[in-house]
Amino acid sequence: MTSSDPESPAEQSIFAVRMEGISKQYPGVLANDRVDLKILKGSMHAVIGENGAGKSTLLGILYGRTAADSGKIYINEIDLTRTLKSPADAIHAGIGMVSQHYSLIPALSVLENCILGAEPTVPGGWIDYRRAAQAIDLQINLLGLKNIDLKAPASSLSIASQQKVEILKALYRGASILLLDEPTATLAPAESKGLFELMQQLVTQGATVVYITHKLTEVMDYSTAVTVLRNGKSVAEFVTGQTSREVLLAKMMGHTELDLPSTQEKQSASTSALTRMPRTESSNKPCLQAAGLSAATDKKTTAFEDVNLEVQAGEIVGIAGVEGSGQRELAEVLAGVRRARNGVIKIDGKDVSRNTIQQRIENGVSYIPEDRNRSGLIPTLTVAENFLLGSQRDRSCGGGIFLNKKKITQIAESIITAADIRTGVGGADRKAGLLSGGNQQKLLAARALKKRPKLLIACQPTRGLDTAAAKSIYRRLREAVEMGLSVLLISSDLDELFEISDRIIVMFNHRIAGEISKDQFQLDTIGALMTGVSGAPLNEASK
Amino acid sequence: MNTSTSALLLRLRPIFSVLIGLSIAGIAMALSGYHAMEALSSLGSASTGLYTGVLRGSNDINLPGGAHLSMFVLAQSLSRITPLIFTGLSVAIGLRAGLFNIGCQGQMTVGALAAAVIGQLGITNSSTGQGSLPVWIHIPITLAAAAAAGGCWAGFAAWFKTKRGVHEVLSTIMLNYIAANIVIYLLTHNLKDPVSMAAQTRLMASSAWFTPLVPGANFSIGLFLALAGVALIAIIMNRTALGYEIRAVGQGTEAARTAGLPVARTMITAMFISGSLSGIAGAVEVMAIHHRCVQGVAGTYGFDGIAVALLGGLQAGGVLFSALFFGALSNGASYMQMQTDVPDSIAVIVQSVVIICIGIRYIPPVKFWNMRRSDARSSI
Repeated sequence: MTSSDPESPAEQSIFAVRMEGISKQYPGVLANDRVDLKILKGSMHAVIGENGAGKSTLLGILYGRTAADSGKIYINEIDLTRTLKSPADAIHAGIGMVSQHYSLIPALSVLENCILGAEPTVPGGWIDYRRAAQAIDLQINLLGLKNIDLKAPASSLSIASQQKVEILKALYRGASILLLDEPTATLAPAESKGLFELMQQLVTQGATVVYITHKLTEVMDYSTAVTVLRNGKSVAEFVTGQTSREVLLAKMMGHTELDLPSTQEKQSASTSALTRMPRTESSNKPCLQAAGLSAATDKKTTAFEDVNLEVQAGEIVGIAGVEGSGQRELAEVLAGVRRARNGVIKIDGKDVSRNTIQQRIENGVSYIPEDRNRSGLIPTLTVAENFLLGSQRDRSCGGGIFLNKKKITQIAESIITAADIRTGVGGADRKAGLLSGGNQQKLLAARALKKRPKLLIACQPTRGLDTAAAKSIYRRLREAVEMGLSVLLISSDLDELFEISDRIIVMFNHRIAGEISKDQFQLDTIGALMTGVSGAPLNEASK
Repeated sequence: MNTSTSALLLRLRPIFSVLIGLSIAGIAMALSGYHAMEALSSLGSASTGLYTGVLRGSNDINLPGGAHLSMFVLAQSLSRITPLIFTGLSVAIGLRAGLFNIGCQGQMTVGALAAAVIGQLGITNSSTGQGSLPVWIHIPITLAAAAAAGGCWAGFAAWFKTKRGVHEVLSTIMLNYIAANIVIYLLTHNLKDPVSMAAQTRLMASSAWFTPLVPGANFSIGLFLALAGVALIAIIMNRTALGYEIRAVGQGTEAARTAGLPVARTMITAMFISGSLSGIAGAVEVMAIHHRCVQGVAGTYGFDGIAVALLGGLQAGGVLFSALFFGALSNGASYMQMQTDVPDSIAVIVQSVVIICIGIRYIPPVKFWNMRRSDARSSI
């Protein structure tokens, strides 16, 4: 799997962590597929990959929170595959975790949080706060941390400080290997910098730091080595100094045309590209118009702002961007699932900004959500019932006050055949949750296209699918586009974007960074926009 | 384990739950120094004797020890099952929509009160209950009033949830207290029967009574109303768009919302139906038994409905069987107490253990992933 081994490690060098052939199957998703992860002692190791690449699962396995189906785990070259069964075991083995969601108890003080579960006691069972405070103080001085008040309640701390407390908590428990899952996701740039400097200091004191990120800047600036995950596989491993943003981006996005070894797998996908007539400029009739759009994330931070875009009838517009640039929220706002802060959305010239989801569907908007098991399908309902979702009042679909079960099954069966959905035993009556990911996705696509929409907003429609399943989705999209459908395709797969888009809009740092037309579909052009090297809003995060 | 075996085990879970419940009750009795086997066999034969008697259509049922049960006792037992069917359905439909309605007690109480008030319409003689309204008008409007009152009481909780995010368990349980206290206030003040010492409303007009089908017993057409309710709910849940929406919202709220389903409206509707069923349960108690609203009219039927719904697998037909089981259990336990001196509250132990065993099923990841992991592979 690995394309260039990190500097062929000398025999005597010790790996703090060695995971071999880790696999983890979730229903319908192979989250980790024989992943290898090797982390040198005293290194600062980045794990990168798009959302859904399997990063969090991998660290969860290392921390004993998730049980792997197969594979081996060595900590400091000791085989712990069998003994690492819970976070308690991981802590015992010297592993500490700072999770995406902080686990401090708001009402307890910093000190109490640090020692929680490992309280030093005096005879009689009372907590020895003095000893605890001394130990934590020592650690604070060692790291040169400022402004940490041990008596303050955790609820009074900023997110950055909470993170530091999490780190202190792990160190107090004797952690020498620190795992951080997207540590900067909710931090301001200056705070991120502070956190990384702290982590570097820990490394100089002998600790090993492993962090998950999808920001290339954080990899290039701070890590000593990096492992790239993609679709649950470890696709590359580099010494950071010997790689570049572009190479990492290509590995992350699975782009194949770069001259690198071990990228053959998906080659067939782009070579046999389905040919398609280029759109003529004369057919300029906007299907979707959005102006001055902005929205917030679930955490009330800015998801995206000042977005203006148009999609012509019969056009496929791709939206690219590093994960978290606002593209998912943009899709949700257009579909009506998320509320816009401001801006106007028009479908065929009709203002739908204030429409409900149902009204937008009636106006011809269709949506394939990213999270297919939660927002797309209802896994416990049957395939036929999932097809019915949204048209249960539509007589032509077998709906109405009383359901026409026979018709519903018939329609489902004809779609199953047409879209080549392999349901396995039970056919249309099989529970949708029992289908493989590819077949679930085909089901979703078929449902989205069932009502002949004008605009399809497709979020990561082929994520986690094999080439054949992806091809089948592309074919369905293409057929629908020939009939006049417009598509807005949000994808983290550059090959996919290059293959089927007419043009690509790139988002960076919550704004549209630029647009690329078909003749400019090249990695360096898009890479520069995605990483903020070129394009409209430059800021300090892009150096 | 292959999938069909595990699916079968899942289906048999109610039966295992009951067996475990009876075993633990047996252990509890043995530990308390009773003859557990004797008590259990007495419980068993009393409970089953009840229904085998029904099936044979006999007027007399033999209980161990030679005691004779008259038709009267059988009718009395069936009348106790009636509200269990209603509250069982009530909890079940709420849970199908993903809402845990534990406020059946309160909904039943306000239903009973509404029925008692509407039941007084057209009364001409307040001591015999003679009234001027025709039965075919008075009974439907009394039932409708109870359904509306119970429905609104529950719908209120759903509305709070959809508008303000108040968890329905909190709001429905609080509404129980509010209902109980409002009704006590009204029974002792504004709506009090002036000629009675007790806290109760005036007598209803006889045109709103369910006449006993067995002289002297409480057994009335209420049971058939409950059976109709079972059929109606089965049809709604499985055959109508509304039932489909309720199931979709209950099992995949996000997916339903994303597909454009009116999630809030569906939740409120489901809770309204749920509350109406409890309200009718209250009305039947009032119309068939008390002929007025009395204190504690809801008994513990509201909470018992949770056990009935869970054991019945949230299916209308299942609720019917599970109500018959729990009804037989509590009736059988009374006879067991007469025969063996074992307290009848042993039935409560069985009921509690059954709820716990069934409840294990509602830890979704365990069930779902175990079931799917083996399956997902075979389908790829």
